[in-house]
Amino acid sequence: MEGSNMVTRRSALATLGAGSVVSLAGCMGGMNGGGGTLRFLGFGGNTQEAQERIFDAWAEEEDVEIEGDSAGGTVEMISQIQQNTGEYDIVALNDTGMAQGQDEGVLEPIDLDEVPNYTDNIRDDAQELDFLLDDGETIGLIRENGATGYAYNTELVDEELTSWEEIKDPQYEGQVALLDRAVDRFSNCAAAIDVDINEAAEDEDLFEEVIEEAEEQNENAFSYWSDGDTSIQYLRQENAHICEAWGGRVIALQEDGHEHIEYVLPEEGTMAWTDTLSIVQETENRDLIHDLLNFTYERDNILQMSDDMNYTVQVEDPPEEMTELPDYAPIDELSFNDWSRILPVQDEWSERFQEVQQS
Amino acid sequence: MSVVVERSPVPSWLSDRITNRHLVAIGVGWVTFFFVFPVLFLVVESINFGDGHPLQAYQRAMGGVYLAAFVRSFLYGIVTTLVTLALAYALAYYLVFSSKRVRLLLTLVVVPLWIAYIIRYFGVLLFFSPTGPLAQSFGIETDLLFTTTAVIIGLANAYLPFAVLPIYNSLNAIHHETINASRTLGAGQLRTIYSVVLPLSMPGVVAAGVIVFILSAGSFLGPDILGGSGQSMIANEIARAFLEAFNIQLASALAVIYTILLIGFIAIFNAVFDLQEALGNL
Repeated sequence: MEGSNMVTRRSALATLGAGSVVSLAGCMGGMNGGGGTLRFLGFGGNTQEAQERIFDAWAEEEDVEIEGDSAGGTVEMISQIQQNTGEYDIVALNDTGMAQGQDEGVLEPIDLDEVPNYTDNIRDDAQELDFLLDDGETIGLIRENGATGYAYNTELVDEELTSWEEIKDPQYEGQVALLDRAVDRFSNCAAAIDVDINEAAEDEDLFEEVIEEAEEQNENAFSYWSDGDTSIQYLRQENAHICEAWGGRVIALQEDGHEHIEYVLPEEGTMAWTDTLSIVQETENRDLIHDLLNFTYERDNILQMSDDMNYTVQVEDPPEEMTELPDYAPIDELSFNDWSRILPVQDEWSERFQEVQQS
Repeated sequence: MSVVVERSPVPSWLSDRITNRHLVAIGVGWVTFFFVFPVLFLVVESINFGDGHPLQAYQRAMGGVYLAAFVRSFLYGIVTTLVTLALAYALAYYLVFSSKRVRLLLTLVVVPLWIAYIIRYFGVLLFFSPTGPLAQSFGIETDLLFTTTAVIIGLANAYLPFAVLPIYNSLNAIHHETINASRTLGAGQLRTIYSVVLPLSMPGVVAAGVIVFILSAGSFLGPDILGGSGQSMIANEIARAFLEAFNIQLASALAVIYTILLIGFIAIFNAVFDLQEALGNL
């Protein structure tokens, strides 16, 4: 069953990728990953811009060109990599993408001896997260991390909000927008009722408790968003009085003149997420990429990225500006999804999540 | 025979080389490459060749949230089609029989087609938002957004031009003498519309109905931008199955079922309205 799914998945990814080849061909103008050019694939948005600023500084020093490209999600990214073998050199994936990329075999081991700035500047326990390793070899370098809390409009909500429990108050009926991703949503619901989502993946009773919480939170929801831009749009246009959101996005909104939007890390806790940097399999530029990664993880550069992205980087001795970020937490205080347990149930959870939304 | 060739607008060097069979081959080839092959590929992708039932994805796709999404897609498609046809008929009728600025108004009907769907849906979203012009300028705050009504409004707004143009074409083809004859024979205005204009414009109505129904029932952006958690249509479920659940088999099965249902629906429509005749008369 698992094997058959893999065949189907890969071949269908090929279909999606085939379309991407055409668009890429147009965008790239015959550019490839060899020679003095590196191709970077990311999620776009401000995290990609912040990353590319660092990359560009290195490229200028080394007289290397870096071409940036973006995709809308992890499936799209992985399919683009699969269908353009050798075209991409370096990719930024989130923890879900790392687990899927590992499953699809599109990532190459990283030689940490060639990236001493990473091993020196990043906390040891952050380097050893499960999804960064494959059979003991490092396949991803942790970049920024954050948590998914919620934001609320202080001009439309009269009380101070601090918990998941409070957003279930019937007075907020039709005023709440939540995240449209089954695993992330269930993870936060599990945190709200003090259940370990990784255990719930293997314990039916625990999972039913999570579903019950998700249904209760759904009572006040008018919509679910699937990309960060939409969450900010809901807050900006006042469609949502309360909106599940990512801290960095909310800070950017506040800096854009919406100081009345407050970000909350609920007291019950939230699930953490990370973005990583990985080397794409079959790249012909391993040495260059290791140089680039080493430059990226120079302390000044990762602090600059953190500042630009408004997210935490798990650097040793973090500066005060970083510790003041709303979702700052050292790695040992964060809990992450165990993808070896969650990936097998992700499909089933997606359908249950749909049922919750339509309940 | 040679006279016909001389009158043809097609240069002789071209008409000598291209026969009707070539023209048919282009059409058939197009449908084969861009419809038949992709659907066949989806059929293969949807079948489970490993352990378990070969059609397990279909079993799953025919129940629960997916069945609800199929029903919702067809209901939204039907309601959108009815709303759009009513609006389009009134507009086309005005253009043909009352307006003195037909070209200007027709241009205004067509102009929205130059704008991407996503922008038009966002336009509706912004218009009805609490910070939008309706609320800010007129103090009118509605609870329309993220409801079925919002989705129908958005879809009807997006597909209205596709309905106006064929209906306009049909109405415009009606000879005014026919209408005058009806009035001369004693029929009132309403009777003339009901007994003369409406039957003669049916080809346009049928064509508009088919186009709007197909487009609206398969809409992704409408429910995605304007709908809430309960307005998800089948295109949204297919995207979710692929992009979130990473389940290509299920996504393919949903797509195949939807294609079959849509073809079946059009076949029924054809049996009732005789599409060939209706579209042929357009």
